[in-house]
Formats: sequence, structure tokens, C-alpha cells
Amino acid sequence: MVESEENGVLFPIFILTIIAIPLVPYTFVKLSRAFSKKQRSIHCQCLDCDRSGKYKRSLSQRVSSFTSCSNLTVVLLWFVMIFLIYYTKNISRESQLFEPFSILGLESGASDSQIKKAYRKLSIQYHPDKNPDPEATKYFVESIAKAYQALTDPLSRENFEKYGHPDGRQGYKLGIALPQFILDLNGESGGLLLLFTVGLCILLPLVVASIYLWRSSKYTGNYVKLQTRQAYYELMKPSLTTSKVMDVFIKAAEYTEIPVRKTDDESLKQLFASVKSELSLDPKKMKQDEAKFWKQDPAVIKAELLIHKQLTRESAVLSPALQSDFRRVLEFAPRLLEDLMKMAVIPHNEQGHGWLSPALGVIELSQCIVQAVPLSARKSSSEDTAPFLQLPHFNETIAKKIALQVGSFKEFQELSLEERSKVLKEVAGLSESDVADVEKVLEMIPSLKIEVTCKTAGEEGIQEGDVTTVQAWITLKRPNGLVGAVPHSPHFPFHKEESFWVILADSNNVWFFQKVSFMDEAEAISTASLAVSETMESLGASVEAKNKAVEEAVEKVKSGSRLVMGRLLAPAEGTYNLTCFCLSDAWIGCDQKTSLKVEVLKRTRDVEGEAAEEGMEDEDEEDELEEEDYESEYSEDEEDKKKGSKKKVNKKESSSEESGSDED
Amino acid sequence: MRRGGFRVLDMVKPFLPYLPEVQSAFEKKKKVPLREKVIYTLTTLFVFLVCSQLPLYGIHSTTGADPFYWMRAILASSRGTLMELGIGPIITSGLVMQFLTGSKIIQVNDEEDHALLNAAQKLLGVLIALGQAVTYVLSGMYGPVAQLGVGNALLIVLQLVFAGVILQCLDELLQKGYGLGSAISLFIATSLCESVIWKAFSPVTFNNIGRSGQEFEGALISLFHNLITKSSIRQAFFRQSLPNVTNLLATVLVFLIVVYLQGFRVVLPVWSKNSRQGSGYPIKLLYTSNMPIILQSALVSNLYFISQLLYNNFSGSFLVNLLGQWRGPTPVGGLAYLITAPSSLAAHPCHTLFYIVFMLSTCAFLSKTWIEVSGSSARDVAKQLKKQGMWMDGHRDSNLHKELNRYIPTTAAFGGMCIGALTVLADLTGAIGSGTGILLAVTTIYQFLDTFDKELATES
Repeated sequence: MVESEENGVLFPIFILTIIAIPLVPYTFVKLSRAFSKKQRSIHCQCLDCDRSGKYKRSLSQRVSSFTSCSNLTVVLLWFVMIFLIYYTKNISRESQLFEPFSILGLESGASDSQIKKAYRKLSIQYHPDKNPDPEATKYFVESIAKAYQALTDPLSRENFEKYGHPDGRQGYKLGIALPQFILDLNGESGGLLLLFTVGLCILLPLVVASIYLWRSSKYTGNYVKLQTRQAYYELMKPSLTTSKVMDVFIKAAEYTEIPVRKTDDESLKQLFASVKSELSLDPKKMKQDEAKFWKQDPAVIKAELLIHKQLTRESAVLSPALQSDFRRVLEFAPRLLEDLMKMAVIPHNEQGHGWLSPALGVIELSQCIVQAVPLSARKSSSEDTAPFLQLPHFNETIAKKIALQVGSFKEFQELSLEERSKVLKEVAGLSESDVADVEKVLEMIPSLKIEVTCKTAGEEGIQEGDVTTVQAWITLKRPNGLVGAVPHSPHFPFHKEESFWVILADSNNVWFFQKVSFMDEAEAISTASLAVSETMESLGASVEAKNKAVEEAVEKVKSGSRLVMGRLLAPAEGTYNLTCFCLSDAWIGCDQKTSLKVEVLKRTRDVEGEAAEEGMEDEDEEDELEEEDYESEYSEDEEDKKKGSKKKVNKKESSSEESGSDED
Repeated sequence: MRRGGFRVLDMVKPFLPYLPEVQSAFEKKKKVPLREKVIYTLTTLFVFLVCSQLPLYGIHSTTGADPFYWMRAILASSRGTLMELGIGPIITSGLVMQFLTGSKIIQVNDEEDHALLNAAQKLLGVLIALGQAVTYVLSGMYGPVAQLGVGNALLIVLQLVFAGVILQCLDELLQKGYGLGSAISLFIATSLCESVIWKAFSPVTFNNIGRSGQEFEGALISLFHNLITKSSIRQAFFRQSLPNVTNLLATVLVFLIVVYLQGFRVVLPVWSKNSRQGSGYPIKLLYTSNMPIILQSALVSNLYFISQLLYNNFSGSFLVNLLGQWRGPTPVGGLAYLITAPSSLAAHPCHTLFYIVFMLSTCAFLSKTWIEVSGSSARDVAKQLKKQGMWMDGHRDSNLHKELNRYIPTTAAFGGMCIGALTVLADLTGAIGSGTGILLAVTTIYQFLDTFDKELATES
């Protein structure tokens, strides 16, 4: 009877532990995060952004974010835990051990005479002759008499000292802390339980895994459909204008999947009429072009028209059905643009070079979509009004006026505070608060600085076929002192983080590219220090020198710079005028470029020796293969080393091949 | 290069068509994406876990002393199931082949030989599995053969051999580029992790009547149990008969130390002649990884096996007693006792001292021997680097060997000692799953994460 009761306590304790071990740390992490969240806001403070409702959270939203699913579960689990603790505390008693000394009210190890004395005293109190109460009788027989016997009888006392019980060894009893009904495995409940176990432990994981695999097989790592990526790759051309990039961009599978309703036809026609001037139709062959335009996939047409609506900032006029499509189109846009960018700059020819012109087009399109600036504004090269259009309270007429007055956007930025406010008030007719808004946005606009070097590590010049290291420090400064920030983008309805693309190109050939983000400082520090320490190590620098270089790099990252590092194979002999771009995907008018002259020398190492070596290598190759097989199965790091060395061999071969062909 | 006359490898040729083989992913020139690799690895693991739960058909009993108790952790085997033999046959055949080729008894010259060698290793693995299975059955591990019947006995042998073949295929699958790392280390790590989790969370209760009342086997659960019902957690930390929280903490400590040691390395600056690119050749402190401890435990467990066998049959002899005296599965005297981890440090200082010295010296020695056998000694590395057109700044080619020789043997010996010391630490603090097991598991997990990271980096 006692057994089953105790088992009843054990199962709750088991459950309690299983809940408590993950729950307690998780709660602490959550709480600490909730308290540390009160940091400086990093988004734009201007009126437009406030009004867009992206950052401001209403009371109901705040409540709903607090009562999110995970938070509720945590609270629920805490309640379950408290209940379990209360329950077990109540139900459990100290397991009753047989302790003869304490029953007799003595210290353990008391002498015989003391035991006798205590026994007599208790006998007077509890003996059936003296105390008629049946409870007392029971207590006397079960505890007192037994304890007295255990301590006075020599055999019992020995057993008690050895095994803890006067009757000798009691042995183990095994049990399992599960509710009784699970343990009775026969009958109906057994079958049910089996079904339950099979369903929950085997089928559920299988189903989840297969659904995950089925879904993930359609997507690339960046949540962009594989189909989209393929289409982008095929449609990419060495040179594309921004409007042609737009044509490629809307061919995404994500957009063709947006359903076209029958009721949309009419409204799409209206949309077409309103954005006709923006579409790149030839005014001479208007009719044919128009017909051609309507012949496309209706979903593609819809996506294109909706994007143009975003560019012209006229989304308010859309019907509710189209409004939801509009949001969907824009939601996918940043990811798709990033993928499109990658497809432009990834290697397209044998030298491993990508294309610059479509990349610039993609960046321009991205900036236009985020800032809602029409493509036509970018095209008019005479006065560049596009950057002005991203400022709050600016429209096309004001932008033109200001541009006429001050010239370029850069000059506008460089004006002093008073001059600028004077210009804004007089020329554009903005009020005091509007001017303050403009100033807030101007303070958010980053200015970039690029320091780029390109050299062979540890050598004086670059020779053909060298593995050259490109190292670029991108420094970002904003007038308001923030480093990582969310850009001002009141017309883009979703959260958009700014990121920058560093591209090293020679005319239209992209040699090297990398995406840089200023948001995550901790990660930037770790990658920069790793890259620096690896370079220093391979140069054979001492530990102190390495640590110093790493420290410097970390300091630099902390002060708002990011390290971009990459390796590329030096091309054939000659002088190359490279341009290093740093392009923002969210801001118009803060892109930077610097030029870099790279001189590639002829190979000086004696070629004959190399050839002889190569000849030898062919023989040795087999040896290497064998050696690889002798590799034990257990020591994997050796295998890794081998893999690394194999890579090196491959690299070397390709490089030597290249130099060979150049000489021909 | 082919000499006339008889070669051992040629004996394998007739068996070649009958051995199962996995087509290599490298041969097909197809890069297996990381996602698929993870799936292959997980499936392999699943098959292994199922195999180590499925009981053998036809066995009578598995009670009585377990003579392979000491090997279970490193062989990833579990008693009375299909995984009775564990990875023992594969490891043994691999080691034998390694020693044969390392000592130039078998010479491998070309592609064909290399395929033959693989086949020979597999064949040897199957033979060893067969041999072991027959010995197990005949020695009455599953009950006397007369009681089992010939049919059942044959069935048991068949099951064990077939399980061995399956394991071999799984291992080959992962090795040939479809998975991450190697199956063997994966299995070892899994079985250790399983036992750690079990000992921390086991819901099994013991009731030692009269002494202490109900107690959980799982250390953490017992901690909570004591907190709630007894408001004293002393017992959960220090109980002797069942896993306690201190053991769990010791396991975590050893885990952390091993991860920390993995980062220690010397980077030798080497240069590629052709691409003129500098790169570092790292020499890790744990140069031979967990190899010394594998060898050491293989040595010790074989010694236990022999000693136990001898003691059971000729217990009177002086020499046999010197080798080891046994009570059940634990050694109580002789050499076998001295090389077993002592139960407490203070109680047997001499025993402890001998044990520490033995562990450190064997690990250092085996580690140094291993680099010669496995082809990762200074000479081999120098040759390999030279082949790749690498040279060290400020040294002539001939000096490369000398320069490497300054580092590699020392690193190997010292690294082996570190591994040995860690094992001793783990054993003395009573870390769960024996020091050897933890070390194997930690190094394996570390390597798996490393490979995974590298794969992820190459993928993106």
C-alpha cells in the first residue's frame, strides 16, 4: 500500500524535473532579454516614419506580443510546476525508516542500561496494561517492543548494524516512475498505449521530417525558390539597364504564384493607364509594345504594375484585394533582390568573373523600391533629384527646385544647418517642424569610406597565378553617431535592414563581391579577428604580433568599420584599373567607389623546375591515394588535413594550367 | 612494381564479387549536398539505434557476469541485442590491416591493390564477426548449446554476422562521402551520450528497503526528488551506489577541458611554390586525436579478457594470480587490479600512483608509435608537403623534415599524455561512462561539429 502511494509521488517528480530543467534557464534568458531590450532606438525618428506605423506599436500590439504563444506556454508550465511541487509536498511523507534509537528517544549508540531505562519509561506510557487506547497498543507492539528487541537481542542488533533492519538483509526493489496504468500493459489500455507510442514517437517525427524536407527542397538557403534562382540565372545578361533588370526581377516564381482574380482585369487596366509613363515603352511603337506587354503572364503583369505603384507612391488608391497582393509583392522583394544580385555577380565566364552592369541595375532597383522613387527620376542625369525624394515632405517639384538651387545632393548635405534650413524654408516652403524632420533623416544617411588593398600575402608584387588577398575596410559614419541602424523608408511597409555590397570590378568584370551588414557587431568582431589571425598565422608572425593585429582589427570594428576579405587568383600579366564599389541597397546617393591600380607581373620562378616537378607529381599521385586509404577511420582530423591538402593541390594545378595557357 | 610470386592480397580476389560495396560519391563526381549528408548520417544513426535495441532471437539467458563489461563503452555494443559484437569486428580488422600495411607486410602499389585492400579488410571483418559469434555461442553466453538446440545456435550466429555486415555497409556509406565523419566514432559517441542522458534522467527507482527508501537512478531527478521530499541534497551529490550529481558535473568538466585542449596548436608557416600563397600548417596538441586511448583500452580490455579466462580455469597458479584475480566482473588483485581505476584516491595511494603512471606512459608511448604506423610522422608529413610544392620560409627543402621533427614527436607524446591524464581525471572523479568513453565521445562530437562547419562554409 505504501509502495503504490510512493510511486504516485515519484512520477510527478519525474515530470517536474523534465519540465524544470529546460524551463528555468529559458525563463531567465527571456527575462534578462526583456530587461536589456530598453536600448536606443535605431530607426529613423522622422514624422513620416512614425506615421508609417512600422515601428510604433499600439497598445494592443504590445499586449499581443507579450501574450505570444511561447510566453503563454512558459507561464502555463510554471503553473504546472508549482502545482506539481505543491502536490508532491502534500502527498509525500518522509519515508518511514525503522530507527530504533529515535523511537526510544535516545542518541544512537546508547548503552544497554540506558536502553532498558527508556524502554521501561515508554512501557509505562504505552503498555496495553496501562494504556487502554488501541492506538497506543499498536504503537507499543509495532515500534517500541520491536525497537527494544532489535537493540537488546545480539543477532538482531548485528543485523541492524549491518543491513539497517533487524530481520537481516532486505534487498533491492526495482521500480519505474511511471503511472500505474502504463505499467499494466495488458488489455485495452495496452493497445491504446502502443498506438500512442508508435504515433507520437515514430510517425510524428517522420511526418515532420518529411514535410520539412519536401519544403526545403524547393528553397535555397535564403528562402528563395530554386525555380526563381534558376530563372534569374538564365535571364541574366552581361549588360542590363535598370528597367530591364526590372523585367528579370518580376519573373520570380514567388510572383507568378500570386493568383490573378477575374475582378482584377479592370483594375489592372486602370493601373496600367496610371503608370504608363513609367513603363519603358517605345513611344513610336506604342501600340505594339502595349500589346506585347499584355501578352505576358497575367501574374507577372500584376507584379510589375504593383511595383510601379510602389515606385510612384500611389499605393493608397489600390482596392483592398490588390492591396494584399501589393503587400505580398513587397514582402518578397528584398530577398528576391538579394538573390538577383548574387546571380548577377557570381562567376559567369571561365575566368570566374561576374557582371557589373546588371549588379548596378539591381542595386538601383532595390534603392528605388525601398525609397519609393520612380525609375524615371534616376534616369534624368541633368539634375539628380532622386536622392532628394527620399527626404520627408519632399515631392518632385520641391526636389527639382532644391536641386536647381544647391546642385547635387552631396552639396546639400554639406551645407551648414542654418543655410540648409533657410533654403528649405524659402525655396521649398517647408515649416519649422518639417525642416527638423529633414534634419533627422539627413542625420541617418550614412557616409562610407573604403580602404582597399590587393596583394599577395608576404610577397612584394603580384605575379600571374598568385593567390591574391583582397582586403577592404569599409567605414560607416552617420551624423547621429549610430553604426547599425534601420534606414529611413516610410513608404516601404516592411522592416528592411540596410546592407551594403562591396564589389571589386574591372570594367564589367566582377572579380570579387561580398555583402556587408553593420547590424551585428559581435559577429563582425569574431569574423574580422578570425580572418586577421589566420592571415598573420600563415605569414608566420609571432604570437604577440598576431594578438596586436587582432586587437587593432577589433578596435576598428568597434568604431564602425567592417573587414571584407577574400582571395582571388591573379590574372594574366598586365596593369588593371580596378574599381571598388560599396553600394547600399536602401539609401539613394550614398554609394561610394574608389579606384585601385593592380599591376600583375610576369612569373619569375623558373618554369622548367616547375614542369619537372609536375612530371614527378603524376607519379606521386598514386602514392597519395594509397596513403589516404591507410588513413585510419578514427582519426578524423588527419582526414581533414588531407582534404585541405587536396584542395591545395587542386588549386595549384588549376593555377599552373592557367599560367601555362597564358604563355602559349 | 609488381613482383611475381604469391601475394597475400591476391587471395581476396575470388571473394570480390560477393562483398557488398557502396559506390563512392567521389567517383561519381557528384557533390552530395550538406542536407543529404545530414540525412544519411541520421539514418545511419537510426539504424544503429534500432539494432542496439532489437533483442537476438533464440537466446536463452543473458544473466551472469559479463566478460566484455569493460569493452562495451568503446565497442558501442549492448548485451543480448543485434549489436552484441558492436563495432568490434570493424575496428579489429581495420587495426590489423593498418598494422600489416604500416609494417610493409602487405604492399599496396596501384588502384587495383587499393580496392583489394578494402575488400580484404571487409572480408576480415566478416570473418572476425563470424569467429566471435561462434565463440560466444559455444562458450554458452546465451545458455548452453544443448539447451539452445543447433538450429537456434546457427540462427544466433547468422544474426550476429549479418548485423556485422550491415554495420560495415553503414560505415562504408559514411566514409565514401555520403555522410559526415565516420560511422564508428559516431556510434561510440552515441552510445556514450545515451548512457549520460540515461544516468541523468533515468526514471527507474531503486528501493533499498530499510536503508534509504525510494531513490531514483537518474542523478538530476534524484536531486529534485531530494529537494522536494527531504530538503537535503547531500545524498544526491554524494551517493555511492547510483550515479550522483558530482559524476555528472565531472563529465561536464572533462567535456569542457577536452574542447579547450582541441584549440591548442602550433602553426608552421608554409608557402606554396606555385600559387605563392602563404598558409599555415597546424600541428595540434592532440595530434593523434583519441587514438592512444583507443589503443590503450583495446590493450587493457584484451588483457582483462585473457586474465579473466585464465583465472576462471586455473585460479591456483601463481602466474595467473599475478596477472589478475577476479570477483565477478571486477578485478581484485594482480596486474589487472593495478591498471584499473581505483575507486577512491585516498584509500589506495599506491594503487592510484601506479595507475596514473601506467596510463600516462602507455598513452604517450602508443601515441608516438601510432604516428609511425599511420603515416603521420615528421618524415611522411614532410614528404607530403614537398609533393604539394610547399616549403617553409627560411628553410631548405631538406630542412623541412628536421623542422617538423622538432614538433611532431613531442606533440604526439605530450598530446598522448594529456589524453591519458584526462582519462585518469575522468576515472578518479567518477565521470559517467568511464574516462575513455567520454574522451572518445567528446573528440568525436568536436570533429563532427568541425566537419559540419566546414561543409556549411563550402556550401554557401
